[in-house]
Amino acid sequence: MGALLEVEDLYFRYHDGTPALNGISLSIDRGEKVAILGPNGAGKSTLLLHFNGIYLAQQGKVRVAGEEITRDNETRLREKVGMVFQDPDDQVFSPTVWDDVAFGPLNQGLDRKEIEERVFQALQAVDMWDLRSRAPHHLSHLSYGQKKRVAIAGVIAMNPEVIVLDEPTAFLDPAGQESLMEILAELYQRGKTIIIATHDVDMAAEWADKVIILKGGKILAQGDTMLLVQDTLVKDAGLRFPVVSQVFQRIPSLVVRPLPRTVDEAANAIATLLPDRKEKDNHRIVS
Amino acid sequence: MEQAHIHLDEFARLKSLFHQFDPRVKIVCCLILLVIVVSLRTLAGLLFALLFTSLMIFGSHLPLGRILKRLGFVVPMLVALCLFLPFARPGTPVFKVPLGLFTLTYSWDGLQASAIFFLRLLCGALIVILVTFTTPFHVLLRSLADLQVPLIFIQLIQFTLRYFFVLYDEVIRMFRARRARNFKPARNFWCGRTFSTLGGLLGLLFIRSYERGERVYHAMLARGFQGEIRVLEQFQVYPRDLLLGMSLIVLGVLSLIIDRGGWGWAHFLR
Repeated sequence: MGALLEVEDLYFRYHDGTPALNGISLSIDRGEKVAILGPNGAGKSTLLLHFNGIYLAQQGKVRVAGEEITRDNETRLREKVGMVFQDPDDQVFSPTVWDDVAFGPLNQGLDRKEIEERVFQALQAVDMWDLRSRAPHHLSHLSYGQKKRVAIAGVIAMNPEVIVLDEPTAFLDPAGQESLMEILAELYQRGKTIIIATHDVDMAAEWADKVIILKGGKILAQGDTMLLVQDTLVKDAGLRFPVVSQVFQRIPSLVVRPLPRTVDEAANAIATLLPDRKEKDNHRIVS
Repeated sequence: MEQAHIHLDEFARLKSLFHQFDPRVKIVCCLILLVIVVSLRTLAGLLFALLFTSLMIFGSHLPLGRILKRLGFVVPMLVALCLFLPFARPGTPVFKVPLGLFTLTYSWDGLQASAIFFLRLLCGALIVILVTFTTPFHVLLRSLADLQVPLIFIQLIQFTLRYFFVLYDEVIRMFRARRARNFKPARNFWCGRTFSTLGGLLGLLFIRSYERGERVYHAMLARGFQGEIRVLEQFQVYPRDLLLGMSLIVLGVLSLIIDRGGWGWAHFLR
């Protein structure tokens, strides 16, 4: 598995001179699930916009499959990196769901049959095929969660290798979040590399292979989800421990190290602490 | 606020001659018809135009109820015209209203002028309804682009329609947030507090719209947008499109001839 996305010493300032990214370097391999975490204003969204070539590096380099993103190749490379924006109203603008999902494939210059097939597959993947004739601007036609799914379908239809999602669970109800996680799992199964920017530490702990923690436009740390239970790092980053980890942290008698980060890990840890062997086996969770 | 927003393409997928009409030829022909209709000067010409525009609407299988509802916007104008224009135009009196110092005369010529104005408006509205109701919105925009309408203008239409309701909801939310903190607009707009609060709200709306515009544009770029509107439908002008287009223009020209009393038809009727 080679690096699919590489960022090398990336700097970016907004027009008004506000620095957003200060020397970011990272590498994301094919087939990874990456969560980029950090407080508001850490530079998460700005970094994501570089992955898709919306912002070009002012200093440093961003490479997709070994090719540096420049003004000349940005359109072609956008087909490899699909981006789902935080607010679906920013992304879903066509008169109907079908038209909106077809927007990307049309811009790719695909033929009619291929476009129809891609739109069908994408809408099936997010379970929105039955609502394909609905109007996204019609509030009684689509809920916020459904619009979010349409936005994801719009990106899936372009068949990118990498799917980048900015705050995918923001403003979604628990059922919507669960449905979104199922969609992401399905995409991962299909071999997509998935990158999300989020505040949601619990979701990152449950889902990601790799976490990248940003603050003030700099990377504080990157590695596996163990980083999310490192006391000093989490405090520095303005984050918190995952809820399940907090439970073990607050009961001193539950000496479990490393701290569990996911529900499954917590359940297994509790099961091993149970006195009776039979009871342990009954409660052991197999992930 | 949850609003029942309009669905732009509600009737655009029906099956009729006008739905299958090449959109570019349809736009051009209807534009020519529109120019002809607004240049008609007599009731006879306009009644003929109303007859064929109504037949066109009938032939397009559009639901009559919805057409009448849309035409409801024209009715207040008709009432205002019939009430006031005949008083403003001299001519054969229908009745007089003595008001002491002066007398208002409701003239037959004025009534006729308001009827002409109304019929022009009605025919124009029917033609516009025919085009917009029988053509999917994105196809309409693509056709305008094909007809060399500047892209910036087309995008303005597209995004104004798409985001009007989003911004409207934003205004409602902002207004509600102010009311939640006991803001009550004064009856007089010139009240300093009301003026500054509403001014601030408008300013904020402009900033938010600008920011949203940026985000929407980024989202479009992210899906490969390069400044060109693409649609799946392949446009091709068939002989039947030209035939239909020619027929519409012939009808328009016919109404113009009737309007100008050509071929001595008025004399013949006498």
